[in-house]
Amino acid sequence: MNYKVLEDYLEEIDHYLAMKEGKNEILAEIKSHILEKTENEFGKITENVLRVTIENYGNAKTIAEKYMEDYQIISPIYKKYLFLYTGLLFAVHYGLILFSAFSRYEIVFFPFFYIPIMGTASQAWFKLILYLPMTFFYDFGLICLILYFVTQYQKEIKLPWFEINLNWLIRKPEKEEKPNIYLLGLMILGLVAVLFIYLRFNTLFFLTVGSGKTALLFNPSVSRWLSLSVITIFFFEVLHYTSRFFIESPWIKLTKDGAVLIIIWSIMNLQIGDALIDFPGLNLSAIFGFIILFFSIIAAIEFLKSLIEILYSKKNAGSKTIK
Amino acid sequence: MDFDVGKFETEMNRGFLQILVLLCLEKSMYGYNMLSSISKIGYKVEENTLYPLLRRLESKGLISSKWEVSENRPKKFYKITKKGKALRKKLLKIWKTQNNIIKKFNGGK
Repeated sequence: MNYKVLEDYLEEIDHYLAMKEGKNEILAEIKSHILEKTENEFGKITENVLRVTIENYGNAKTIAEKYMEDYQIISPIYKKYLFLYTGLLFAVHYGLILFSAFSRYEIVFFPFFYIPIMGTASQAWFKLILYLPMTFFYDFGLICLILYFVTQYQKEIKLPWFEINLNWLIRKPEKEEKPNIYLLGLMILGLVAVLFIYLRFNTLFFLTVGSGKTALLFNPSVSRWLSLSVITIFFFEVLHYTSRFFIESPWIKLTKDGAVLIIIWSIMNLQIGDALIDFPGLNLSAIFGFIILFFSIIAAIEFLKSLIEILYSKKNAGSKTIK
Repeated sequence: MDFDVGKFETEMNRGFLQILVLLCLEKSMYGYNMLSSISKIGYKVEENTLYPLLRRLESKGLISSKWEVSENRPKKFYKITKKGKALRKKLLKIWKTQNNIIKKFNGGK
């Protein structure tokens, strides 16, 4: 005879038991026990007395948990691997996204990644910010899935471990080279030279086309804006280097790197390709595209380095190796 | 300080219950039967603790089981295996050693 209250209870336990084998046997044993206990304690079996026995037996979730004490979704020994692998995958994945955004290439790595073309530079920057958390969650999930399979089927497998030493990335204040007055002099001379060229030609980007005549590489407004941007970046670098004679602060470097990044962002929004003059035999658009991509990557890395340095100096007491 | 004794007791019970079950199953018994026997000697075991434990011991080959119909109801009977007996012997020895150590540190009590 079937009792609804008992069948419902067993069905609930069944729902929580996430194992493939032995489920029916567990449920049959619980059923047999509850019926016998009820009969012995109450002399008869009804829905009402069964309810009392079931309440004493415990809630379905707790019962299922006790049967699954030895069952693990992801083994705890993989906790460190989960974060290391997610970090590595994220670095590669987001690197590909950055490459795709700057080169305007679509990247397909079926069935894992699909990175579409992100449009113009201003659209790409916005999308890159959106991609940041999404990429992390995706990579975290993918690594979880892999570790789940490893836990379930290959418990003895030895996963590769990588010691990642980030010291090379972080400036160590105690070993920081002191700013050099001669280098500063050279930088100031360079800045003066660049300013002189700009004031003389109204641009930094021109070609000599013979008999001392010059030709602009870009249309005048873009040329002026681009030149001023380069001069400003140069000026910030000189200013930062000068400040180091008085105070060493990662915050000043972060501010400088942030400002440089914003200037590069504004350069990317200039639509340089359309502003370039035609020059036979040279693909100026590709050359400048590559140069801007190169400097934007350098600027992004410098900004990240400054950020890591601040975080690291706050957290770091003695540990040198980040695992 | 008011400690939650229950959690410590649960931890202590884990090992104790394993020995108790291995001792009980010298003769073939089913779950309810075993609970009643343990209860008669003045010790209470929760049914939702005993059954998962039986399953774990069985999966390690320390006890065996078979379904039989008794009093018009299918019941799962358990019995200790040879491997279980060998382990029981070792566990009892460990338990006695531990008991002696506790006694010595507790002034012979």
